[in-house]
Amino acid sequence: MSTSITVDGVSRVFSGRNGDVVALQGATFDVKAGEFVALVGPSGCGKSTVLRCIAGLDTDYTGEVHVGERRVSAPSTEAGMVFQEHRLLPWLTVRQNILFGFVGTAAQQRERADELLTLMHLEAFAGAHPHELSGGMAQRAAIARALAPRPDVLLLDEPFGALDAFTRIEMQDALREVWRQHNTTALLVTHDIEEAVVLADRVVVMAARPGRVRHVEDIALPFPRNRASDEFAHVRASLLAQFSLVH
Amino acid sequence: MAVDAAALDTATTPQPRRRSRRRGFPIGWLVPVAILVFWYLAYTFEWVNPILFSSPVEVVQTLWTSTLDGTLPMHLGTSVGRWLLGFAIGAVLGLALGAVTGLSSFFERLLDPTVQMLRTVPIMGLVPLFIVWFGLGELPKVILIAFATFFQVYIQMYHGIRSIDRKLLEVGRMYELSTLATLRRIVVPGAMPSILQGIRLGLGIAWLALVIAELTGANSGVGYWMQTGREYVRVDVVLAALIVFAVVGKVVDSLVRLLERRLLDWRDTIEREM
Repeated sequence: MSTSITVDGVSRVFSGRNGDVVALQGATFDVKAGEFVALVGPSGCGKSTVLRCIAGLDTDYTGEVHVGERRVSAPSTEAGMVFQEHRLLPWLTVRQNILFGFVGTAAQQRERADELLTLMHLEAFAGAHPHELSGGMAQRAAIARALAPRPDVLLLDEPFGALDAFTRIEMQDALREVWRQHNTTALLVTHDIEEAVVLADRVVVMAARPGRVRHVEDIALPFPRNRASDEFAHVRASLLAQFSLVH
Repeated sequence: MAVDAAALDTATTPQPRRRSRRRGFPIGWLVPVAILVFWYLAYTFEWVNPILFSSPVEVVQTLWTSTLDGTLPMHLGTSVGRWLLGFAIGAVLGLALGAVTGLSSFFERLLDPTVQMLRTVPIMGLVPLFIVWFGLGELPKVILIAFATFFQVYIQMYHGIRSIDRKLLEVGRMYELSTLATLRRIVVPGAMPSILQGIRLGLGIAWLALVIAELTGANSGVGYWMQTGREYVRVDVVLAALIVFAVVGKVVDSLVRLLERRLLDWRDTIEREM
């Protein structure tokens, strides 16, 4: 089951030694049930902050965040989270990591783990520990872990930011595929405009200082998207133009 | 496309490495053997005063005869008993208090300054006090050993918990883990390397405390045996006792390292690469 996400007038102020920093000011947007939305913007635009508010990891905000009918005030298993670092538990194997948040009988666990290992092409590494994996494989395991309990929404915080360009392209295609198969709502935070155009149905463009939503753009291109096509270049250029206005 | 790329990824990256334990010539033994040879030569050619020194052969004979007549096994048994009892008490208290201060800032502020202050007290300095308070029986010895163990284990436990990656704790929060589940599934395994390190250091310092306790006011134990050797100027007995201390200490240290390797298998590759 997928669920909508509503972010309504969310502000977040960080108090530091050098005074207050407005990380987010009145951010408002929504993600429809089953939609794939990308949140793009320069560093410091509060895109990760808004994601942490939706995840329930950051609750010191004003405004309202809803996932479905639920007003977010704490983390919930309804949401699966993938961080920029894989955050796999180093003492668990890939299989055990994938099942970290999955509740079920031994047979269900085995079945679910096998399913995700296959989906993520990690079969050969089921018994390996995280330090034995490449960056791409570790991040695939992290996505599998987030998907294991079949969350209603999948939150991704620059999940491919630390990967090399080739691995990133491969991971983007894999992500779109597992998202489609799981019929979940996805919200992806990224600073990579091309990544947003490849994956998202809609792109929310954010601006910095103070962090705010600047523009929302529908990406009407059909899937699978061809990174080399003229249409793709056109959409990317129009999004880039949004940033040239940002100063 | 995704399938092909992933297959490529699997093909070009190394398969999970299995542990390969290659053991070459044990060069760690070279120095002890050299010392033994030098010792033998020094004694044979009288580079040292033979009254104040004995030959390695003599020491081995002393070890052998005192093992046969039951003197050494008796003393060793007493020593090991004290050591393990004192260690167990100190380790349990250290783990418990370290967990409390590691997990709670309130208890850290309340208790840690006191522990840090007591930690700097040299254990040698406590011996006279403990003898006055607890007499010459087993109690002061066990307390001294427990006291010494406590701080090693406490500090490692505390640091082990404090050094757990907050990012991993956030993963636990995302899955709505209860406090108990967070402890069991993230905190304890995360702190395990430190805990085992604390146990290893604790056993070592307990062994030292044992020798101190037995050299001052004991009537049994390897330390006492050594003391009698000193009184009768039996250098061979003193040296034999030292060798017993060294060998037992090393054997126990190796056993704990073995346990570490078993429990921290997941870390093995990283350590070898560092």
